[in-house]
Amino acid sequence: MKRSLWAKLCVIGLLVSLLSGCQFKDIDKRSFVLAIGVDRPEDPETKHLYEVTLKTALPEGDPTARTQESIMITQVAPSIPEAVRLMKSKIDKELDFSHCKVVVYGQALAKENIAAVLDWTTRRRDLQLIMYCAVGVPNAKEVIQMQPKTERVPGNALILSLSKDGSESPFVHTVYSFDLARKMTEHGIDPIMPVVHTQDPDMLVVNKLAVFNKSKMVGTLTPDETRLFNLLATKNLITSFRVMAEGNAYDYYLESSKSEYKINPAKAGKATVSYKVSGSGTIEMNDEGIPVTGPVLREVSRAANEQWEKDVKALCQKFQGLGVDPLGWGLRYFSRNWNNEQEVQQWKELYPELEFQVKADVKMKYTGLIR
Amino acid sequence: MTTHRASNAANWLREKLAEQSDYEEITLGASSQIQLQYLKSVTNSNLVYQYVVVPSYEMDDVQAYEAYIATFPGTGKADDLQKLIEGILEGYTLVSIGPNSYLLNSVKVESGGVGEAINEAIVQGPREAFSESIETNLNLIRRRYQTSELKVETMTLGSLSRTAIAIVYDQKRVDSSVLQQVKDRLKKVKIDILQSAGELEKYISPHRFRIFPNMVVTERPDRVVLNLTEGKVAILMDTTGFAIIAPAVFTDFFSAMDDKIQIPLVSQFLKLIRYVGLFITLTLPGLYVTFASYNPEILKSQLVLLIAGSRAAVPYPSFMEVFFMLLMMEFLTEASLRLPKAIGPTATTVGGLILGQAATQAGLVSNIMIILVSAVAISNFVIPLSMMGYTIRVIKYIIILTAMLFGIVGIMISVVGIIMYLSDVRSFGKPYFRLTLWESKEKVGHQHGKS
Repeated sequence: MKRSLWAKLCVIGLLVSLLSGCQFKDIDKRSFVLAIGVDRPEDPETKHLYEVTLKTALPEGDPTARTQESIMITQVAPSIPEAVRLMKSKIDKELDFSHCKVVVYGQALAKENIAAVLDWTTRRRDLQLIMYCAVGVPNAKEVIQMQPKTERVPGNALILSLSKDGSESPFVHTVYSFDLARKMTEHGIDPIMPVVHTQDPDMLVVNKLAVFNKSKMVGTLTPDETRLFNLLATKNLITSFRVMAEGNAYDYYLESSKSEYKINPAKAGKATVSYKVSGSGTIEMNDEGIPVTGPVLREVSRAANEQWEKDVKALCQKFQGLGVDPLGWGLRYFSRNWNNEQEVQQWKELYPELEFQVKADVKMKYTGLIR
Repeated sequence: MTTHRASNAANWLREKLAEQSDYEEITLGASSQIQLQYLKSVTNSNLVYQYVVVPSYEMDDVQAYEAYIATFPGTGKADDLQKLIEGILEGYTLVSIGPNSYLLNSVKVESGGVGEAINEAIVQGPREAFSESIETNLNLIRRRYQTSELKVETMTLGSLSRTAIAIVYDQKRVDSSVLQQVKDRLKKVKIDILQSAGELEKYISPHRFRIFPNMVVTERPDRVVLNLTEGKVAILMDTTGFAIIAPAVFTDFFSAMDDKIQIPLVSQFLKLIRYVGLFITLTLPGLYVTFASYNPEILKSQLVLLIAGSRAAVPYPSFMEVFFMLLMMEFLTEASLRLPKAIGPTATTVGGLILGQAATQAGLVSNIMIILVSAVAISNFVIPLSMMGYTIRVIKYIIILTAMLFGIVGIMISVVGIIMYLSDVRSFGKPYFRLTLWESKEKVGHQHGKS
């Protein structure tokens, strides 16, 4: 009786041990992909194919080593899954995408169509949805290959600058893979992605935004416009602005910022998007060394308001001109004018005729510390 | 009138203490006029014999003897019954001569055989540990628990060893069902030789197969006393310096006597640390296997690359590495336990430092593994009672095994399984896996008479 129970337990134990199958793979037999780059090949004959570049880490046991080496694998194939399968035979270890944090779309591909690549990154189970997305200039491969001197773990420089975990630049707008996928399919909001371009000898610059009309890149914002976009899209942006007041240039640091907008309903086929941007600032630099007094602060505030009103309006009009809606005005309109069938059509008709009103209210509160 | 009172005191005392196994009564003198009453375990019987019993035969006159007793240093008349019982429990002897009764200071203080607690050392607070004589141990408890409610029942176990056993409990607070079970189980024990408390614990446990200790085995009289106030039963044994406390709760094994001494903030922090230690020592080896072989995506990429890099030269799969290092660690612990004190540190140095260093340099195990093994070993020692410590040392292998087979899911399965098993365990009919964080407060309130 007792013996047969033990025998049964042993058999069950042995059978259970088979359940895990071939899941067991030691960490040193995996090759961790840290970044993916997807391009269109430059060769005219293979222009319709994908050129996939993977940056995989070469682990080193010595943590005191200054930098860790990385290995680049490139493959041209008709589809990305195909490319990955082909790349598996180029490396001795199993490719593991679970630590892939960045996917870079080549400029040429972005201008054409990113839908297929995005579909792959959201569908595949071991690619995380919190990957950072970016457009690579001149192409994804060169961005991926770049190894800045500050980088200790392969791909980390790219991850840190895109995530704002490291440098909190006002010119970076973090875009996650799930966010991109949502904006790709959602009506009334369009995707955007930061642009990463390489600079000699080993620098990665992220200070522009690529604007998409769904799956196709239609334009790029300048650094100034990017900063302004971030001012509209995020609360309490950490940045400074430069403004001319009474023939003198002042730089002010933004202590707090807030932006809100309303879409005033259409009358006779016209609608107005009215923005209210407010904030408070501290003078950070004063070109001529003029003593900063109360009246000067008020004057700087007035000039800053004028500047913002002009610039924000111009930015909104730029989006309108490109026919894109990265700030989600359409989505807002649908939610407030919901009638089940016509709101999308109504918005399509309204959009080209949209008017923009901007009311800025930035107050210079402090003169900065004078020691 | 006075006769009545004196005999009253003696009778009252007899009534109160007759059931105590260490109560003793002697009648002296030709006409049985002199009566001695005392508790053996706390009274210096040598002193009583020399200065009370012997003179009673040397002096023929009872009155002279009474005068002699009255002048005895530290003697008072036993007028107050409350004072009388307190005195007796402390170790005084009641001498009744005709109508008068006297309380004689005959307190026995055991110090010769009492050593310091080694296995359950604490920073502040009493350092005394049980000695290997049951008389001394009863004395240690009586000195800390001076009430007539404390009952001691003795018996012997072992057909050859004839080991004296004492069941100690607070009559008022004890749970009678537990007490009955303890007695029943002790009666059922049929063995030849009984030599240690742990052995006895094994014999009176209900199940043959157990994972967790069902009773607390301690060497600290203050822990026994504390548990007596909580209504538990203590079993003392001759020839061993340990006592058994029943029933036990899981959290008992994670409380040190320090917790009572420290300020609440500190003691709660210390308790928290012990549970964190428990969690780490249980799951860390299993987690390493999981991270290194199944689910590296859970960790930060920097750490993953570090582990991957340090494992690059290791020829065997991760679980072999873990088993190898943990086994070395177990050997080291066992060896340093058995070695004479003079060689002990050498073994630890050679084993811990040199072996660890050399093993990583030779590429036999990874750097991370060495850190992990030492973390596991250190956090294991955080558990205050060694019996639980041993159990945890064994259980972690179950977790490694399931982690080896199923990764993170395996760890979850085994942890849930252990919790389910714990919830099923009963110690003398009482739930074993019970959280006692809030209950202790009620008890404190009760002691202050707030109820």
